[in-house]
Amino acid sequence: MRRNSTIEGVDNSGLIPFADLLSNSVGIIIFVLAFTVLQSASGIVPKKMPIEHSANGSSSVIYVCHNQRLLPLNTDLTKSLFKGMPSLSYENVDQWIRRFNQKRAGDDFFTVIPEGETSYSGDDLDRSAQLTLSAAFYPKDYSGETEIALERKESLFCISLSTIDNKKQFVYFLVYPDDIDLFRKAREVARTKYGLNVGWGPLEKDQPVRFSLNGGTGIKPQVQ
Amino acid sequence: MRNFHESYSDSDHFDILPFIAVMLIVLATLLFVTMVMASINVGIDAGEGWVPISETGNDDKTPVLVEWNGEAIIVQKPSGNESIFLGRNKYLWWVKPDVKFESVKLLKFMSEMKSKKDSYVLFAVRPSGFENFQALAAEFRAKGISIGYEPVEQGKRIKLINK
Repeated sequence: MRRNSTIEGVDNSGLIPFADLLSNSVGIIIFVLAFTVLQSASGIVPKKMPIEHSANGSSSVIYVCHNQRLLPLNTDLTKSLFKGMPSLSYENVDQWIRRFNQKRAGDDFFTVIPEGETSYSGDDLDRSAQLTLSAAFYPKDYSGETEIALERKESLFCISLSTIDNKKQFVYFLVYPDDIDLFRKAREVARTKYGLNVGWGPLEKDQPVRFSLNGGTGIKPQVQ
Repeated sequence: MRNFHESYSDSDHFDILPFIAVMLIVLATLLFVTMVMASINVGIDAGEGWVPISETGNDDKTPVLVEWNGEAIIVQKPSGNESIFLGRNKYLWWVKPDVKFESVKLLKFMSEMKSKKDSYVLFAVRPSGFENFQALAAEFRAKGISIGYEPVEQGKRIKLINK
């Protein structure tokens, strides 16, 4: 039986371009869906599983990932905190600590502020003083290199990495919570471009980087 | 010259309205499926499967994935995830005078891991866990348990995929 192209009282011919448009839309959506499904496959990431190793006497070259910038941290800055300090004795310990806490050090990337405390133990006849010395590294705003700059051979980061001896040194990143992507990029450059051993450690948001100056629990860089 | 209406009305073809209705339903369904797939796979909470790359230096140890969010550790096991709550204040994790972990579940997990010489704990550290992670890691190190750690975005779901 021959069918009519019109429903009674309705002219269908004007709908043909619409149907055409609809068919095209369905085709495009199918394409987008296929792309999305393929994209989901990239959620599987082949990964080097990190495991902590002993540093085996290697020294660490430290970088801090802060505010989307990578800052080299020079621990030798703490040495300048002790310059010009008088010799320490039980009698002058309070004065010594006051003077020590007034010291300042720094470079283009960090301001170093010493944090010294004295605690006393024992009785009046046998009293002893314990010192707790640490140095807080405060990152300077807008210093260091951005993620884009890291890949350039002439970047400070790459120049510094090219001088590292992999047998004696490794790269250690200290990472603030908002700078995970920057850390991954920097680690990739250090590992793949320069073949260096790397490690990392997390830092608390809005807190400086603290190093103990007389032992105790401080940052202990490890290779991973 | 025949007009457009005549050329279609004279030929043998089907009613177009049911076809359009079907196409609209297909379009809506596809749009819905695409949106769902996109939100699952490329959205802010998109998951990530880690496939370990074999290499020298890992001592052929098998990682056991543990998520750390600053308050609780979530041990990923084939039998299902196990959550062990510790709290945010690291100074409350230990009890005196033994100075040992208060959490019995965590102590049990630690002794389990210590006995497995071919495994190690791989921490996925969320940004919310950065502030107190080192205290937790130090406890595992002190017990002689091998560890590794990797930062992971706050909402990202992760799992290990064994080859």
